[in-house]
Amino acid sequence: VTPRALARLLAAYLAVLCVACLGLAFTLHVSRSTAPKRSVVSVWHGGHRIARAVVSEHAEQTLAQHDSAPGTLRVIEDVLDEAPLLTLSPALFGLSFVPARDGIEVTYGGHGSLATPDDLVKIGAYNSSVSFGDFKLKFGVDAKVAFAYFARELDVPVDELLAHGKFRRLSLRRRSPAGEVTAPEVNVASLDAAVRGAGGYLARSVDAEGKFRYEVDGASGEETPDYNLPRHAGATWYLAQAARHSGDAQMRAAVQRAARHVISNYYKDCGSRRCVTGDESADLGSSALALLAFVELVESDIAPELLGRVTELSEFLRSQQREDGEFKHLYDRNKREAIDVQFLYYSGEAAFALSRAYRVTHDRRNLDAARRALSRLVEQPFWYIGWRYYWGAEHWTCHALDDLWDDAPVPAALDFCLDWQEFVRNTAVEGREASPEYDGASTSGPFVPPQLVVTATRMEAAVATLSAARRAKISASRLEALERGIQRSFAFLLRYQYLPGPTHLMPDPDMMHGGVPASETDFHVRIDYPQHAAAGWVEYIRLLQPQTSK
Amino acid sequence: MVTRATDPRRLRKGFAIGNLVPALLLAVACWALPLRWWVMDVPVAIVVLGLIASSALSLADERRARKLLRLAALALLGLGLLLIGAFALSIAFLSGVHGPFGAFGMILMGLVVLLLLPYAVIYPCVELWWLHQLEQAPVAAESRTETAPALPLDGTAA
Repeated sequence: VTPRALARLLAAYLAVLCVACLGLAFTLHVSRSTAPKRSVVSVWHGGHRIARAVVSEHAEQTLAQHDSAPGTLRVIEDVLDEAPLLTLSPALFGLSFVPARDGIEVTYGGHGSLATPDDLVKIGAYNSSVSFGDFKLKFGVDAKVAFAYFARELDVPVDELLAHGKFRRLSLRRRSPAGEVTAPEVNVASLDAAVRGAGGYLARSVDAEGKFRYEVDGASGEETPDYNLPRHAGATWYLAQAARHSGDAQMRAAVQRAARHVISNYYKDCGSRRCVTGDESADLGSSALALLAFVELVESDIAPELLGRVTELSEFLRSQQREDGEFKHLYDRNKREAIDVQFLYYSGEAAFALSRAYRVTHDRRNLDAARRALSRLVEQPFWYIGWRYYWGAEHWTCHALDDLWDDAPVPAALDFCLDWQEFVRNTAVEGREASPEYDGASTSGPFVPPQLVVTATRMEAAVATLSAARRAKISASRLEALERGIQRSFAFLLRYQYLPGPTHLMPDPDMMHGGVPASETDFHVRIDYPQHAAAGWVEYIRLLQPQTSK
Repeated sequence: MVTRATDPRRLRKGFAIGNLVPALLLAVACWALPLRWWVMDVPVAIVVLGLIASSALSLADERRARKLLRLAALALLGLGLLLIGAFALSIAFLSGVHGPFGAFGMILMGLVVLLLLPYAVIYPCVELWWLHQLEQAPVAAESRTETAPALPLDGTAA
């Protein structure tokens, strides 16, 4: 091979590749700003579609006779553009749609069928994920679910449909009911409504025994059978805050039941101390978050009788702490000994809980233990070359920073949280062509709708950081950047909280009211989703009201 | 004039050992992925084994070294172009579906190109160029150099 021939070969390869790439991108591209070509009119009632028409004009008048029926919603979506699909192979087919923005049209034997994003939510086509070990990725549309849907609609076997059907991608824009074009305002009034909504959702989900309805799919109304004790305790903590903030009697009663549920079922001996566990192996997180909830209940005077439990749980947490500030995250109740292993979140939760416990116990051992734990948490591991560019989920760390600032400040923790927040802002979604509504969200990848809980945890940390940073009197420009990021991300979260959300897709919208879903296309609400989002909102309200801020 | 830097024998050994670097990187990069897919695994495995074999044989058999190194370089270049092509088409596909996806996509694209280009395109091109230069030079040059006494300390030789 002569150098000249090699150069020619490479140049030709590059040219062919460029043409192929441009051709592929151009063929698959759909416009999202052109005039509508036709409209899809759907009528929904009780979470089910009861009528549909595809029209090229007079969409407003189409199926209008349904408007008078109570509980019925007519949705008009405009088809702006369409494009072919590269392949029907499940993985690539699934990646060929922008979730929540694209529809699918299939024609077979002279008949046509169409699925809008609402249809795809209802059939669970957005719920598929691919797991790589512990790592789970959600990709576009579940091809198998979509194929089965069209096969049913067109009354044809799936294989036959795939062999002879013609599939196309549709770019859709909802005309009615009109979505908010601009981002929701972030102010005391909107945050107050959001806080009460989230509190109301959690309060309604506490049963007579004090157990939460752990996770519900808003699109199907089905509950997940799982349960998680640390998340129960975390949701109880937020519910106590919401009850305190709102003075709502239903929330007060619900949070008392939820706290009692912990004490009745999970408050056990851990050696000579008391801890919260459902197992012979007690994890630190359950006790830490229960302690957090109990402190809130004592402080707010909702359950002052829990002060003794606060003291007991503080003792247990302190007994699990190592000399270097780190915690042993498990306790073996049979062997009566701590197990020196570490899991995500627990050390931050324990640091924050001990700091909060100091408020009501005034025991300086709690303060000292919290300060040592926080200092340990923000140490930069010298052996990890990526530490400048990578942060774990540090929301509890930044809560602890804020809570300790007045009595035992850890300046390194403030730097840590400020740096992390800069990273969060720099990697937030900005100007995604198909979904400008996602601006400000913490991304879960460029091709999937952002998971709300990811943004929520980062923002509760951001608010805690802002609170500490104000008291530390850092520069105005840094404070301003931090607050701008908070406002932008909160606007994203507020947009998707179910206040009331897409009720036409829900069999029981009242039950879901105030919930915070997993994402725009995944209607699952787990108890920690509203907890994390609203824990940030309620703190930010305090910062927006100077007379009540710290 | 043949210097230490242009000594064909040294360069041949250098490339023979150098082939182990892309072999190692490709092997680690491919088998570190949590997903196994034969379309990816088989060509990468062939190239990795080919690179290792070419290194060993080139060091052992001076007469066939050029041919082996050329084959290995062509295989590596082919795989590199294939991977870059697949990656570029993937980006084009996703860009067509999702529209421009901003800084994240650009960083990702840049990172993959930076990781692939030096080892799987530039390196084999340099190797092929050197092999061509060697072929153009008088055949006697290499054999004279190969049997020449040790180079003087100033790094030059007649």
